[in-house]
Amino acid sequence: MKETKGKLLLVYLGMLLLGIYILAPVTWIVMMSFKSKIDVISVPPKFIFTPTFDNYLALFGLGKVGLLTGTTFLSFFKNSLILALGSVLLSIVLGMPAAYAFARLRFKAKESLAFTFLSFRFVPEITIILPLYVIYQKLNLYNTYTGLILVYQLISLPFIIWMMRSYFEEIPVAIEQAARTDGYSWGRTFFRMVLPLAAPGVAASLVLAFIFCWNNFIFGLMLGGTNTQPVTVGLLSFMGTNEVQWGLMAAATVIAVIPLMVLALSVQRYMVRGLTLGAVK
Amino acid sequence: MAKVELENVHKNYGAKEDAVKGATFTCEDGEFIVLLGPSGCGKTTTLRMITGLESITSGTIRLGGRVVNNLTPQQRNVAMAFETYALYPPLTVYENIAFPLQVMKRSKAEIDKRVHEVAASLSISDILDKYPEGLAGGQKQRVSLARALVREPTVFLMDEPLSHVDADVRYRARAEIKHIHTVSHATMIYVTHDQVEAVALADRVVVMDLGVIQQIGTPLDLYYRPANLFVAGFIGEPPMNLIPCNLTLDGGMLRASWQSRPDLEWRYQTENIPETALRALQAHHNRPVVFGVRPQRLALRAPDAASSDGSLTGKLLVHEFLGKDGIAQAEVDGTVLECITAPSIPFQAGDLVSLSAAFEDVLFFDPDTTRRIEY
Ligand SMILES: Nc1ncnc2c1ncn2[C@@H]1O[C@H](COP(=O)(O)OP(=O)(O)OP(=O)(O)O)[C@@H](O)[C@H]1O
Ligand SMILES: [Mg+2]
Repeated sequence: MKETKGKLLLVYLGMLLLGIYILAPVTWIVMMSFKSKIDVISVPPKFIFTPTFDNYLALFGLGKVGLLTGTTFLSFFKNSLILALGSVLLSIVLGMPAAYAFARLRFKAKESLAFTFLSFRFVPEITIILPLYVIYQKLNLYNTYTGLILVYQLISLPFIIWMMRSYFEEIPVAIEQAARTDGYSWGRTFFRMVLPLAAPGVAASLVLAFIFCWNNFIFGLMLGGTNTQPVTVGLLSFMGTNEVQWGLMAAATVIAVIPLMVLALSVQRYMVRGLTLGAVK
Repeated sequence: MAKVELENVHKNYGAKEDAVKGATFTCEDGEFIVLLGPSGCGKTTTLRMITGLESITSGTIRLGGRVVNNLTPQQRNVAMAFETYALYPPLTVYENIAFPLQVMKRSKAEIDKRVHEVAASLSISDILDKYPEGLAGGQKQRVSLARALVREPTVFLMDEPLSHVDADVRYRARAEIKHIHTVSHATMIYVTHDQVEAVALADRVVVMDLGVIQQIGTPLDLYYRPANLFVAGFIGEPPMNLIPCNLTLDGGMLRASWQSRPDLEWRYQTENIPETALRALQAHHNRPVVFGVRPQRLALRAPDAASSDGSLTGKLLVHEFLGKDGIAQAEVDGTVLECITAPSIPFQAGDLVSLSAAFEDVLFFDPDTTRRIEY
């Protein structure tokens, strides 16, 4: 009895340390976002300070921090939304039929083809960015939403194909066949029978793909300009040559993370399952 | 209900070999046909082509006299019960059964009436509000049968509907299906790899192997007049004893001498053999044949010196008590012969016994064509 209690204590201690390790940077950023310009840079760091909403107000153009407003941030935020949503939408349109085909049909070189899609994810983005830069300049895709959404397919499409495939595979074929013998057309079977059954998985893969797109940095940095770059790149604009706007940057980070947190928590339950399923198949 | 006709139907999935090679058979209106064969022989493929879930590579399928080759499952109005039941998880039992009628846009009142009728006939009225997830295997199976029956289809197809039902209730479920057929007079095509199920249910059985129909016949036909070695070995439990022999027919004696040991032979006096049989067997004089005898027809007796027609001496290996009868294994020169006996026999393992088969109970097969020598 005594021994197990001791063990339990150790486990809790370990969990506590891990929790601190993971949460400390987050807490730090959140704290920073509520600090005034002076408090942010004070040494030693202040844990007790008068919170201020100046940074947030500035971001939304309702105030200033020093001479700066943060309204450019809003356009970066908008860019992020357009890019991530656009990419995920395009990936569904392309990826869902592909995932269904991989799950249900037998055809030549199926696995090789599926793996080819997956391999897009293995290539370090940095290796293709230079040629893409040149090509994009030539094709007038540089600094356009279309161009970025296209290149974002490298992130979202393989992911959507593989994850949705595993969800489609989970649905017994017989259910589809039954619906078809009972009088449903093929399309109706897919949209009314298969899709609702796969819905949680489909939602999870969409959200995850959205998050991956949202987090991307390098494509926006290299292939976009200030009118199309996402927040991840936009944050750099708070680093001037002679001054870094820590408070504004922290507040911007917090805001940029909020949509992801909400999405991730809402589908957390399905995500782990989908990911591991995809892995064993 | 309607007649189902298949005429030289082929299915190729893209592989070198066709999965179904020229299937031709007719299921009369109200008949119960069972497609029987080992795994991978093309039973499901055949069924799916009848349903319309799978395209037909070549050949013709007719339902009620109408060619349906290019019709969708919906247009064919066939019903199918699946091995895995394939119930729709988000729907209740009631909604599952009502589904095909709803698709057909029948009135609410009519749907309600039909669902309750069918549910009552399958004694599942009490679970109509439940969801499939919580049901026992036998219940799920009945729901899937109900869903198929509810719409009065032209033909009722079933793909191994009992293979996931627990062994102890399978017998009852099987009887239920037979009963449904008796009262509904539905045209039924039933797929199974279990010969006991096939023989129990079928008016006629279609035996398939490697995509080819081996024989079409009543259970009795298959049992006593198997078309070839495959059917002979596949039907019957325990399987038929099959022994490679050489046939000679002279001096008033028909002899099937073992290829492994020519001095061992099944002997029959020609005077006791019907004329037609003699004529058919004459063509195989001095040629190899496969000698077949069902364990039920191989008699185990005390060895007697005056060896009579069609008997050999062997050594009893084991005898098992099976209740209403017994099963014995006896060895003759390294070959084990099986034999259904009385529940108890006056011999011990190791005893010498005589194994005899009357001429009318033995079958001869041509090893080249594998076909039974017909007479
Ligand atoms: N969709 C398909 N694509 C390609 N080949 C297939 C397909 N379905 C079945 N086959 C092949 O066709 C052959 C016949 O399969 P089928 O499912 O009809 O056999 P079966 O008799 O129903 O077997 P079982 O008793 O295992 O269900 C097999 O070799 C199988 O691998
Ligand atoms: Mg099958």
